[in-house]
Amino acid sequence: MDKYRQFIEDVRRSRPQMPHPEEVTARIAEHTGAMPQDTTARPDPLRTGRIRLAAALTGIAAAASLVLTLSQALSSEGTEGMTDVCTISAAVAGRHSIDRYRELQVQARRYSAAKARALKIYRHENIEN
Amino acid sequence: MSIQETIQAAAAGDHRAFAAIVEQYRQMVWRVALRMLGDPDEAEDAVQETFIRAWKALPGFDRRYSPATWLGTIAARLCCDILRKRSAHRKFETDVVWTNARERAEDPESGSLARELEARLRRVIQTLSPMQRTAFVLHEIEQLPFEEVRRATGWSAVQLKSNLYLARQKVRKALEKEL
Repeated sequence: MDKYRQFIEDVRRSRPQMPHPEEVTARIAEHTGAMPQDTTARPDPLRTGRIRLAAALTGIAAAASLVLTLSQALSSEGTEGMTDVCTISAAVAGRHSIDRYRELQVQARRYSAAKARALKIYRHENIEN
Repeated sequence: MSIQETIQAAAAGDHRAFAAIVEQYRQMVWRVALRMLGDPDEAEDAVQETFIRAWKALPGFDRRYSPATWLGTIAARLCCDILRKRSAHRKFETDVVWTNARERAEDPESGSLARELEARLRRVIQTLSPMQRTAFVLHEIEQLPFEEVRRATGWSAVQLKSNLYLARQKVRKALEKEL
C-alpha cells in the first residue's frame, strides 16, 4: 500500500471526538427547541413553577399592601374617603391627604403591573401546555 | 423508529426526533467541520450552525440522500463560506492552525498517534481549495457515496471528479514533502 493510501486508511480509522458535545447540543437546542431527554443542559423543570409562584406572591403582597393602605386612608380620612379614595379632592383633604393620595396611586400602579405580569405568565404557560 | 421516520417526525416539528438526529450525527458533522477548518473550536460553532440550518431546511429534506450526506454537505458548505471569508486573512489562518497544531503537539496528552495524524491531516488539507476540501473530506475521508455528494453539493460529476483528483494530487504531494 502506498503512502497516500496508508494515510487515508489511518485517517478514516481515526475518529476524533468533539470535546464538548453536550454544550453544543444545548446551544443547538436554544435555537431549535430540540432538547434531548438525557442532557444535563436541560432547563430546570421547576423554573417555570418558581416564576409563577414568585409572580403570585408579588401580586398577593401588592394587593395586601393596597388593602392595608386603603383601610388606613379610610380610617384617617373619615367618611369623605369612603366614596372613592382615588378621587380625594386636594382642596378638601389638605397636604397630608395629597401625599397619601399619591402613595395610593403608586400602590395601585404596582398592583396593576404585578397582576398584568402574573396574567402574562399564566397565559404563556397555557399556550405552552 | 428508523432514521427516515425520525427525520419525517422532525420535519413535522417533533423536537425530540430532531434531538435524536443531533445526537446521532453531531460527531460526524464535527469531524467534517474540523477537517475542513482545522480548528476544533471553530468546528464546534460550525456544528451548531449546521444543525440550526438543518432544522430550518428539514421540511424540504430530499429522501434520496442519507442524513449523513445531507448534514455533511450543509456543514461543508458552511465551512466553505468560513474559508472564503478567511481567505482575506490567509496569513492569519495559517498562523492560527499551525499554532494550534504546535500547541497540541506540545501537550503531554497529544503524543498519541491520533493527534499526530490529525495534525498531519491539517497540514495537508491546508493546501486544498474550499471545493477540493469539500470533495476530499466528504468522499475520500467520510466515504459518503459519490453520487449522493454530487447531488447534495449540486455539482456536476465532472466537477466533483476533478476536485477529487486535484485534492488527491495535492495531498500526495504534501505527504511526499513531509519526508
